Amino acid sequence: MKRKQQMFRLTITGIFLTLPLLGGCASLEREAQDVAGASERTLTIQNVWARSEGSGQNSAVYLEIVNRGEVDDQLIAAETDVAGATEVHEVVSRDNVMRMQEVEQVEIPAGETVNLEPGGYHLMLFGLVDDLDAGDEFDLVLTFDQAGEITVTAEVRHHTPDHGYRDPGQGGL
Amino acid sequence: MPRLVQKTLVALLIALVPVLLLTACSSPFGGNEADEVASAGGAGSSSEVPGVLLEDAAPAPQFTLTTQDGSPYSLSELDGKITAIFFGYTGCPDICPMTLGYMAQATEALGDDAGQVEYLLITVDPERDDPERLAQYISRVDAPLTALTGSQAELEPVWDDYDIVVERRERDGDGYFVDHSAQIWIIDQHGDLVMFMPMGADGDDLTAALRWLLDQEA
Ligand SMILES: [Cu+2]
Repeated sequence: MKRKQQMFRLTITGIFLTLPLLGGCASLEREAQDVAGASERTLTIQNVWARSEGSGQNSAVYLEIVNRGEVDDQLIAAETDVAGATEVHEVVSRDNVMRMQEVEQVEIPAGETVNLEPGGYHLMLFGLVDDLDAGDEFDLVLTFDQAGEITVTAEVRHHTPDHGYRDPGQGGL
Repeated sequence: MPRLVQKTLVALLIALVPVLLLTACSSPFGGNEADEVASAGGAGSSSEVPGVLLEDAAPAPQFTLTTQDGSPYSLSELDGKITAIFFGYTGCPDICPMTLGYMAQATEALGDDAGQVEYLLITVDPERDDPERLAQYISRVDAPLTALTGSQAELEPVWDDYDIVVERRERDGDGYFVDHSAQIWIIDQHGDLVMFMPMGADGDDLTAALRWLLDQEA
């Protein structure tokens, strides 16, 4: 059982090791939607999206964090008005069981890009105050250990293939 | 069957690591890699089979549950179609919708053959997942998907039959999570439980598995 868990960990690690290689892929080549701050800021937050879901339900936010600086940083919290509570979550597998759980921080190493994506990390939105429908936008405040608070705008997308990278306009409902 | 699943999963995960590292711009678990998965897993009878074939395929365990419309549903009603079953719950915003998205992806990719496949979401959270809530949840998924709920007593044997571990975990503050196994079971046109997609398989893998099964009949 332990072995399996470690293997899944390895797999997850594999995904993240592979991600930098994916930088040139079409699905990730979207324009940065939210460039945080001016030139003194070293963190860029881009491709911020949330799953469309009904009022009272839970949703998740995904995004990419680019650290162009020379100092490691950590994402430690997130907050938004559209949900009753927001937590930073990771998905892990234990003994053939998937679980999501809160993490204290997500490491954003200097010079690297970290993706919060389905099956890995997400910002968990508990108890949506209102419906989140495809095309909606809402603000989200991210807190980093070094960079402090950065406000970004999330775009709501349908549950679509390709992890929701399809444009909401093409989403099929 | 449970032991088979466990053993194969270990082998699969071992096999997947190099696959991941080697994959560039295609999805991390792209279609061709699924072949390697099946052969490396040791359970497949052919190296061309995506997903994991069961060595001893047998009639799928039957159940009668309640749909998102509040009507009764028996597995046997799906005679003649392939059925893919996933277990999840509406409070899960990550793995569950991601997997349902794979079903939508397969539906689109199968084109004219999409009508030969049905998808089921069976809840692991009967306390919160009533038909109304399930209806709202799956309305956002573009696939021929039926969501099923029932009482704890009705669901527990189904979870057991399909080797789904369900663990309720209290959340600090309020509410709870339901940790659960995440493989997709596939029942063939004759009602036999023949294969599963392990955790980590994606929409391309699911599509390839369904296509393979459809081709077996052609
Ligand atoms: Cu979560």
